[in-house]
Amino acid sequence: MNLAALPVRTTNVALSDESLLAGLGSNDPEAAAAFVRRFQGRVFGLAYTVLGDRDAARDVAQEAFLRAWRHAAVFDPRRGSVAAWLLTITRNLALDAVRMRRTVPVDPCDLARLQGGGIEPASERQIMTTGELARLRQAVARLPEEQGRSLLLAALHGLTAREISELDGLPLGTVKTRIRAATHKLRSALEVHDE
Amino acid sequence: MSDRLHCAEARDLTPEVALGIAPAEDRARLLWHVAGCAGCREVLSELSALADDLLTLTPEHEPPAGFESQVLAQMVDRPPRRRRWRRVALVAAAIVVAALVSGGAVYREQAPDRRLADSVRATLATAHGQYFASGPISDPSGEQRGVIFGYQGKPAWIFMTVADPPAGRYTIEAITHTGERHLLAEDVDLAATGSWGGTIPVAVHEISVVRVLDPAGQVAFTGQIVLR
Repeated sequence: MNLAALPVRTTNVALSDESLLAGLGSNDPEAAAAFVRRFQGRVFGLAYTVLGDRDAARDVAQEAFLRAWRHAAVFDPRRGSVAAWLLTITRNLALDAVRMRRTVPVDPCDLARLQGGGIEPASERQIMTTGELARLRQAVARLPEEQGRSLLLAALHGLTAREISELDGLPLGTVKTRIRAATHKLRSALEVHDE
Repeated sequence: MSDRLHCAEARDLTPEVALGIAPAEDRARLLWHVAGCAGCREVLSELSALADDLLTLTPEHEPPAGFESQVLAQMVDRPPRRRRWRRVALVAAAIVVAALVSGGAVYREQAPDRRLADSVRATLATAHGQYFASGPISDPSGEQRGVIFGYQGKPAWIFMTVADPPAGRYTIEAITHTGERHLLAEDVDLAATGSWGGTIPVAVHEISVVRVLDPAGQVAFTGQIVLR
């Protein structure tokens, strides 16, 4: 069956992420097309953020969707959202690609934009509520710049504390402290609103 | 490798483990700790979820023209393999192993490093496991040199990490409580990998000690899995 040639019913737009993933895993061509359409901007966006190269990002994004298709059956909604699962696959593939190229394409401008919240947010169809996502974004934006940079270099680019210390010319202990402080601030920011 | 972590030390390691950037030894030490500490396990779980959620903040970018059709066409060209039950069990068992070994690219999309605590639960559930336990690996002087993990499921397996073993080919054997010796592996290059894992022919709780023998046949390391 030629999945690419089939039209997509607009009713799929209303289906949950979990339903579309289940359809993808069972080779439902309409669900597969809707799934790719729903997430392609975020998947390609993350790959591009990490890699900084459109061709490499396209290859990684395509492979991420194929991995999701093959492993849809092992997705466990109790452990997180479809978006987070798919983006984690994407991040790991992108980091593998970075390591293959032996380069560290870190664009400080991208990090600054992400920290400052000056970007249009990704679509908010994931398990986090709109409010939670907004709080997380605000909390990231409120982090001291140096803490946010260390955190995002680790979270998005997979750099170890040692690699960040070498990149930024900082003592290893300073980087570790910044990462710890940043994660605990974000956790606290989200917890306050849970009470 | 130092002795077992206290909670304060574990909490210091947790952010880097949750972010998936901690060295393999730190991940192993933290996993050993959280296996018996519900409080630190909860913190690891929360920070792991936080790390995943950070990815959702990245900006969207429009992919190149034709992206969607190219992805869908590849799904036609590469139909998914149908796995047999045993394969599923082995994959599930490998989830935890992959989480401990820093590479693990094959299985990372299923259970990234940052999901260690959840991985244990998922592995047990998916592979119908009964328990997952750990214990120290020590050298003849009694100094801890690594960690051994035992998974009681179908199949049962063990996985060990050893810090800085001397170069050489090692033999690994399990001794049961009744004194039976089971050869698990020969010609293992521990210095190259720092770890070894494999299925075991007896139940984890039947094993008294796992011995790592050096090329001369002398006991270089011993591991004891602690069942709680």
